[in-house]
Amino acid sequence: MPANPFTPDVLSAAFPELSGFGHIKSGTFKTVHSVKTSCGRDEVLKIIRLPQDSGTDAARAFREQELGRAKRETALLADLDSPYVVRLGMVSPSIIDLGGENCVAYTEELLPGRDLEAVIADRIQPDEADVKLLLSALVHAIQALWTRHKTVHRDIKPANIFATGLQDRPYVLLDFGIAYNVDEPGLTVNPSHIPHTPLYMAPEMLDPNFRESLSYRADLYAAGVTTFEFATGGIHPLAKTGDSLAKTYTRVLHQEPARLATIRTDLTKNLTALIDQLMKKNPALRPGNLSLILTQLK
Amino acid sequence: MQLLAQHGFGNGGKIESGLDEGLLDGVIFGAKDISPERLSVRLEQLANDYPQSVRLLDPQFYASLIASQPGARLGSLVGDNSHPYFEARRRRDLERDTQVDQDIMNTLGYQRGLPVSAFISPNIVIRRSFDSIEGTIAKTFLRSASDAISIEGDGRPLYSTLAISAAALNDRIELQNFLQEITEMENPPEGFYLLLEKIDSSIASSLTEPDILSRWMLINHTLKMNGFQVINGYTDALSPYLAAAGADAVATGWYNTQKSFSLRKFEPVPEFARRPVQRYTSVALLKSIRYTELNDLRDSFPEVMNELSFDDRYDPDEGSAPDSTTSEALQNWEAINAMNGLAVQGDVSTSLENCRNALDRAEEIYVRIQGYGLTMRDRSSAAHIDLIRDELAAFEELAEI
Repeated sequence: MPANPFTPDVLSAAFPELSGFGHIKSGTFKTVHSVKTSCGRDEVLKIIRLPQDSGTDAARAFREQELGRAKRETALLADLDSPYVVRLGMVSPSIIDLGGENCVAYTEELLPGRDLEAVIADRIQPDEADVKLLLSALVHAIQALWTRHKTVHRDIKPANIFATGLQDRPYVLLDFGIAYNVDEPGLTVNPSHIPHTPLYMAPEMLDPNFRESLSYRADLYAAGVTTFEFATGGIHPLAKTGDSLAKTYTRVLHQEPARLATIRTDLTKNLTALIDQLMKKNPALRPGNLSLILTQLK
Repeated sequence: MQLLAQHGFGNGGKIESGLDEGLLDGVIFGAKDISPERLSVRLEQLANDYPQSVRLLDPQFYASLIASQPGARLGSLVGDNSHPYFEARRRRDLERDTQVDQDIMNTLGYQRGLPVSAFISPNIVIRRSFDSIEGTIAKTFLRSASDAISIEGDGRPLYSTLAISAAALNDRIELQNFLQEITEMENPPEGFYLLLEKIDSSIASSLTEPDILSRWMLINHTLKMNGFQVINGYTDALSPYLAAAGADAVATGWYNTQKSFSLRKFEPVPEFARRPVQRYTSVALLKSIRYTELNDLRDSFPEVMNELSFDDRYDPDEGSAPDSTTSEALQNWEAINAMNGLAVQGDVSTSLENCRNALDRAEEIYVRIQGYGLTMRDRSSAAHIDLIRDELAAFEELAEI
């Protein structure tokens, strides 16, 4: 259930360097507002509500998990240097009290355009060049995450991608809240809980021991599914709407994805074959040479 | 799709003839069967006479773990006039990264002084399981070879040896995890030199256990999908299926020990090997048959003949015996080239379909042969057809095609 947005009064008091607070959206823990900085730049204020410390070990552990994730997300964004990844804004991450609630808050750049989910909802099939632009942007972002940071985004999906319309960065990846650095200790308190979005989750993540072999190829899978959906104007390669979670997991594990070439007969065979290959169940069958993929997309 | 000669004992001009006839694209020398001086001279000659040829040296380092066995057959790998990089090793030696690094540097450094067209790195054979100490050592060799080439290399490509026993392929999940790992190496080689070790003791050149060929094809396909060049050693009549799965090159030689890979050829053996009966490779049957069988079949079943240029070396007036072992080798290379050409057309799905069609045609001929009352020997029989059909289907499932 989405959390209530904070009032402009509460936000003004906490962030005197920001003004023009406008609520964009809220999730269970995260609230997003548009703001103007003291330099006159438009940014996005992200506020993550931390679970209150009720004194129990479980509550304390959960709070540490969420705090750790927020810290890692912002540290990662601060260190990533890719036009295809959202950039941090003027307000550095800090723990702050907002109306009696403990939160982590920071700003990111405000991107023009709208998220890819909204674009796909228009049910328009893009041309080949645009499909390539999207996939190329995602592969660039995956490469930036993995090469230096050994990090898997784990939540690539249309809602986490912004279609900016900008020439030098037409698609930008957002929301690194559940990004996972394979070289660092895990933060997840409940070992049976896998943070994910079921329809974009790579099949290997349903293996209880997935962390042992998790790599950027899980992101490539999600990039393949997302690009497929974009290319077809909203057809998911696996899903029928309204499936139960169990049914969705079964599809992720066992159902052969639809072949893009059967839906988009106008796209080149090389492109449809590449996108299909990214959605293979066995991670080793997904092309692992990111530079080679980018060359193929030129 | 390239066809290379898998060099071994008793060349006698076969490789040069194969290159002259346009049947071969190059050669993989086996270090055991050629002295350092001779190797250097042969490579120089090939580089001069066939500058476009593929010229590789299999360092056969995998024999190092059996080198200390009394009676081990190591040829030019040991002794006064031996290749200098080769040493006997125990497994515990190779558990140390420093030893692996040193062996790689020595092996690649040796090849740098030779006119090979690419380097082949050393490795051991993963004989039992990917999830084993041997598997770990093999991965260390793979990673370290790529690092070493940046020091010892000179721009020539590196092929990393990946040698696997058929027994290690039993666990599909382990294989898939291994493939994932090696295709995510930070500093990958240009390609792999892939060897699959036979585990049975038969002399037949094909791997006849279930789930072996399909997984060998999967390795080829996965490596190719990931942008690697793949050279398969010791493939012989299995070449077309590996080619269909994505192999860039296959290699085979003239004796059985050059047609399927096994460490047994380095191990001590009490008995003497017998000279093999000469054979004819039939494209239509997708198999080689004894020359005597050819003689029995050729009049009634002319489709068994390839109608290619080296058919005339099997003179019916001589009982269809080939006029020399060189002719036998050339005929085999010619037939394998033809089989590869039939198999590899278009994408993987199309190539697999071509293979299946070829198997159907072969089966139909075998049925007619049987109906005629002729019995083929085990090694020449139709036993491969159903097995390979099953393996193609298993590969399609594994590769999600």
